[in-house]
Amino acid sequence: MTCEQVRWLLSLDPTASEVAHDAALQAHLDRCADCRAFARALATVDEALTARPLAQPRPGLTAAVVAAAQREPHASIEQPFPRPFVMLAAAVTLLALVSGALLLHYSSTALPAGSPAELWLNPSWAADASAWLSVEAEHAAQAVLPLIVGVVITIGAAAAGFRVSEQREMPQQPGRPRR
Amino acid sequence: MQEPSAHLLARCRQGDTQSFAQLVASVQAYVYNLAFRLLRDEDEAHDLAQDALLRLWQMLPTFRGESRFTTWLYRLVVNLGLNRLAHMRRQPAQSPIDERLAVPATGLAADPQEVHTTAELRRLIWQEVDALPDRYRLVITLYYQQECSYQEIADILHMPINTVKTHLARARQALASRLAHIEGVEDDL
Repeated sequence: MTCEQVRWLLSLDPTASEVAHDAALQAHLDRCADCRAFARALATVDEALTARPLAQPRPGLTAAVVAAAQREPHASIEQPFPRPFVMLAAAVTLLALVSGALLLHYSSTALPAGSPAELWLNPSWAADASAWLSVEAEHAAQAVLPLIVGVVITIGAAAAGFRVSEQREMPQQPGRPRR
Repeated sequence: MQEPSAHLLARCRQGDTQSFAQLVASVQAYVYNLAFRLLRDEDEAHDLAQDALLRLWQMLPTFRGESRFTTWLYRLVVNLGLNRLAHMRRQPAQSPIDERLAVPATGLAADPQEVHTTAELRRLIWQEVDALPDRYRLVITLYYQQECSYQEIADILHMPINTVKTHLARARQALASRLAHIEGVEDDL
């Protein structure tokens, strides 16, 4: 184990709980005075950082904040999703449902030969059941597709609304500070 | 910082300013300390603490309790503080902080013979901390002074927990290396 590795391991463990049980590291410390000095310095740094009292604000901070709070409105309790997104989601869903219903209606009124009525009136309806089912499945697919699109858009709008709601809870994160 | 009671938070959320005064009195030292360690300027830190506490009042109804209150509050302070820091750095002529940032970390190495008392040693170590880049300084402050866990620091600073550990280790290593160096110099004298 090199000095560099030992110092990094010591630095990674502010409570020194793990390095105390590392036999290889302890063996290195026993024979390396520089790393022992580093370990002592690390302990001194930790002690200094822990012992530092909090910086105290000026007197009157609480009074100033409370006085300002009495003039400021309390934020309204947020809806899970902001109103514009709820309305957008509702409009898209409604549009999808209406589109689906219209498609189903027009496709049903312009059925080719082999429509459900003809199929059911035909004495040999059992033989044509599979044809009827395939026709109905096609119509259903035409109607369901816009509905699925509507649901996907609704979920997307709701997720976007939720993110906006989350961001409103906290101030915007600025650009990451430089290292 | 001790977590305020759910009852106190509920009363504040309902707009009870007396309860809010009680809450502010219990958190103000931690908020100010974090602001001061971030900005390193008393006036700016005081303004930031006041802004953050007022924002706390405004935003409390949106606090859903998904994280600890202290984590949420520190995120508020840090986010506002980083915005303010960026603004301060855009105005170099008015900002003494920029001058201080430009000064290399020489606190411990300035005069080894002066490092006699524990108090002096602590002062010099914190002087070194103040010279660290923002992110390292914040991690040190949150860990040692605000008593946050790795996970809480990760949540506050929006960084992975392993990055928090690495930042803390690098900062400690840098500080200990300087201290070991100065103690070595002292031994030689």
